[in-house]
Amino acid sequence: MGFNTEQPIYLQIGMDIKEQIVSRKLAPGEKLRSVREYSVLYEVSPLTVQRAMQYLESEGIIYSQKGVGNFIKADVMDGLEGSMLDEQIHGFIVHLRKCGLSDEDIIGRILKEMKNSGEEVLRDDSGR
Amino acid sequence: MTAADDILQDRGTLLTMRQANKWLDGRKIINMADLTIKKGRIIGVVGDNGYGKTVLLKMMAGLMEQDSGEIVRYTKEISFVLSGRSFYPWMRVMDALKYYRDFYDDFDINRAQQLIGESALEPDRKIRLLSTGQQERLCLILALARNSRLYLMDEPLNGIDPPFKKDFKKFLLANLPEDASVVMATHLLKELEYLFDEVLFVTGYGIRQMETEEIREKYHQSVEDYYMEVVRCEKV
Repeated sequence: MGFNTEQPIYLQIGMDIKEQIVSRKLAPGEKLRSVREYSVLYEVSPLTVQRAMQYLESEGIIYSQKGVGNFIKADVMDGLEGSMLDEQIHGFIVHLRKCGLSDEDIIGRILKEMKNSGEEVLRDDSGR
Repeated sequence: MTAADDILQDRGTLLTMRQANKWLDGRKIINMADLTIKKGRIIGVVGDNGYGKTVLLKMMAGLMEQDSGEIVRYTKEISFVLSGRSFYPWMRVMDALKYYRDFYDDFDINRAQQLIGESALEPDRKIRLLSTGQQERLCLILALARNSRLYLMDEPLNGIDPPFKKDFKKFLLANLPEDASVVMATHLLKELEYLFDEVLFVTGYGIRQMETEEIREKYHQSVEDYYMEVVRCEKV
């Protein structure tokens, strides 16, 4: 996975795992891989993976069973898609501000693009 | 338990340097080094060549002594990962393992053999005939089979072809003992920065210890860019 430098790595890993849940690659109640396995997979330090797990726990996405591992909460889907959308919008706004756009510019350009895309409905890859 | 054990247990501190200085050939190569190595961290040592990365590692290992200042080690379990050039020309892979077994009490030869097998290294092969990547892999195995708390590595990826650098990273991460720390000197920040929790910037003016995530969060830059644009231009 390619990381960007605008956000902490642990956050990007946390979001990647959230993405896997939303796209049904990971199921509610499922056991996550070990810290070591994720560290090898993402090629990051174990500490970074632990931080990602702490982040997911604080977001109510996973819970930890000492000595066993980390599990996705059974009720994870409630509110997950909504909060991910918020995060995506937040990331988008931060990125545009970094590019030098004022908040007014950002709104203006979004409205302009909305007009241009008209009735077009965007479908995601999984065809949902 | 000794006082050193207490500090290791309570604070997870493996090693500290306080205002350490080192002169070599009339030049001050390490200037007022202040640093703390905690357990469970992967730390990169970054700096231009000739500015003291190797000296810093040797001082941490106790292979070189500082001229002034203080270095305190809270553990004896420190491994210096060798480079491929460290072996006698007659040595075969198995000889290196036996050498380590005889030299180090904490060397687990069974573990080493298991890792040798996983790495498709032939025990009978002469080390000097292995590829650079294979030699580095052997050196890593010898160190990892010692189950140390702190691993010191001096530019372990040098001379390894790009496709095998990934292998090195994954192998290290897969086999690093839990809570062990790694201090790795490198000039390949681009490829390694996501591996590092912290970096030690070594310049002619001193040593700066920073968390990589802090650099990204505060300055919105990659650690590589931060080093090139900020650290190298500073006279701090």
